[in-house]
Amino acid sequence: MMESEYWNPLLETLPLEKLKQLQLKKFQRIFAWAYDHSKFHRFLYNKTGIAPGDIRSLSDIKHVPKVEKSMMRDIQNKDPFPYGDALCVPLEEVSAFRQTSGTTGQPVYQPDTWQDWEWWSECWSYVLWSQGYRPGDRVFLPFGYNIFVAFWAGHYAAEKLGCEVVPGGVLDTQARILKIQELRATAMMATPTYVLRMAEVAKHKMGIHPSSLPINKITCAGEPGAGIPATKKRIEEIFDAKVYDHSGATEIGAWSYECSHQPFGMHVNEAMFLVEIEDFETGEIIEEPGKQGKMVITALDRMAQPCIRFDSKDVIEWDKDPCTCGRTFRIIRGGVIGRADDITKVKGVLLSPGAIEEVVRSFDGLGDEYEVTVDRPGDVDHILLKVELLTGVSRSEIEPRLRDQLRLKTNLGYEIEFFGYNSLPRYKLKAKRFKDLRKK
Amino acid sequence: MDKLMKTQQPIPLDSLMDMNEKILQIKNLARDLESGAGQFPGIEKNAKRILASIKMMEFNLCDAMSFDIIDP
Repeated sequence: MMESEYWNPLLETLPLEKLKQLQLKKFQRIFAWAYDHSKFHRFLYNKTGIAPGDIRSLSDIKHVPKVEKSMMRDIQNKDPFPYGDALCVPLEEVSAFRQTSGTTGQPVYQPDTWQDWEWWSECWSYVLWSQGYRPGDRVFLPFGYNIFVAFWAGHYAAEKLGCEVVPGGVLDTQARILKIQELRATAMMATPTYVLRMAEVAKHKMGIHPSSLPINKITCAGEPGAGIPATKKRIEEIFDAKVYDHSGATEIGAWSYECSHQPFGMHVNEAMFLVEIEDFETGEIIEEPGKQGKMVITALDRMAQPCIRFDSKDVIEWDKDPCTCGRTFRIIRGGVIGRADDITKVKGVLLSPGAIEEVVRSFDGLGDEYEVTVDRPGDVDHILLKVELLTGVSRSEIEPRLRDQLRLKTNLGYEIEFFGYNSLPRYKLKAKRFKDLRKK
Repeated sequence: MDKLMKTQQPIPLDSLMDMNEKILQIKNLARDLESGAGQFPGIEKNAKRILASIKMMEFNLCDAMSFDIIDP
């Protein structure tokens, strides 16, 4: 029998109109579930005067109040300890604890039942199957297996697909590289920052060229990198492997994936999530392709602590073209473009840190690391960009072209400081390369 | 579009209905096992895990059938 291209040949090819019908039914179900089982949700909805029977069409959903991350932090002070009153199941049903990384403040705790963990790995199964993971793949996971969701569900999904999983948890980077080499691992999952770090360590500290490793596909998540063409190209070239983007979050789930056709974007898993794109200024829902806005997302099947109209702050836009893979799940063009928190006005111009990364990493003579600091020393905004010159590369050859490209791509001027290779900080998980010192 | 759109033969409705029926049957069996095995944790807890896996099959197929999303 011919192998299916899709993890779910029914839902992944459903016409959009049918998908929307499914989303409405599922939204009604999860909304009623949360209303009936969570004090937090019932209070929130009663305050707005909205009840389960009021959701009759998809257009009614915009009246459901959004949930902000800060609200999830606040409820943790309530009972039952330690999750608070958004919990929809008895505490003894909770089988797994995870928490957010705390990048934007106090971490949020996430309770999941066993069914929710099955659901996590089911979402990841869509991701990995679409990226060509199959039985026979030996998948290496170089992350610290701990309280953060990270790639845990990717581990379980790979097992479910029939791959062999190698948990590279408490190993340092060199030991991980040696283990990949020794076991002839064919795939791995990591943040783009860490993948680049592994390449750097392999090449410069161990004398192993990453392309000599048997890895043929890498799933990147946790940061936008694999959706930034210059970063993706850099990783693909150095490992001689396909690099696929994926986006998920602790409070949400694994909601999107780049398939093996690499459509310059990610499919939204519209059978399991409802993604709405909200206009930055008006808050209206954007349906048309090509217009950026802020993602508001609902996990349609997550039960213990539901995620209903969560204000993720991710900036995305719909693509106008369908993917050549035949999936009808819509594509968000370029993946997650940035975070609404990070996209900021500098000298009156909207600046996305991803645009700077795209320029820096398109220069072969520059290292992977960079740092951007925005400040306002007087009355005028000032941007400082720190980059690393690779050994043997001339600053005078790079600098004018770098300035031109930055001006062209971001419409802004920069003070640029050049450093020797390996001078800027290295990161193991998520990097903090953008600092806005005006926000105090 | 520079690449041809991939197409895969749709699964016949009869097969979908057959799978749907079997999933619901196995769910009922697992539920009976779970509820009837109160004094036998080794059966009860494994039946509960099986039910969680069955739920994924419901998400993947039965929901679309029960919500009348699939055209006959």
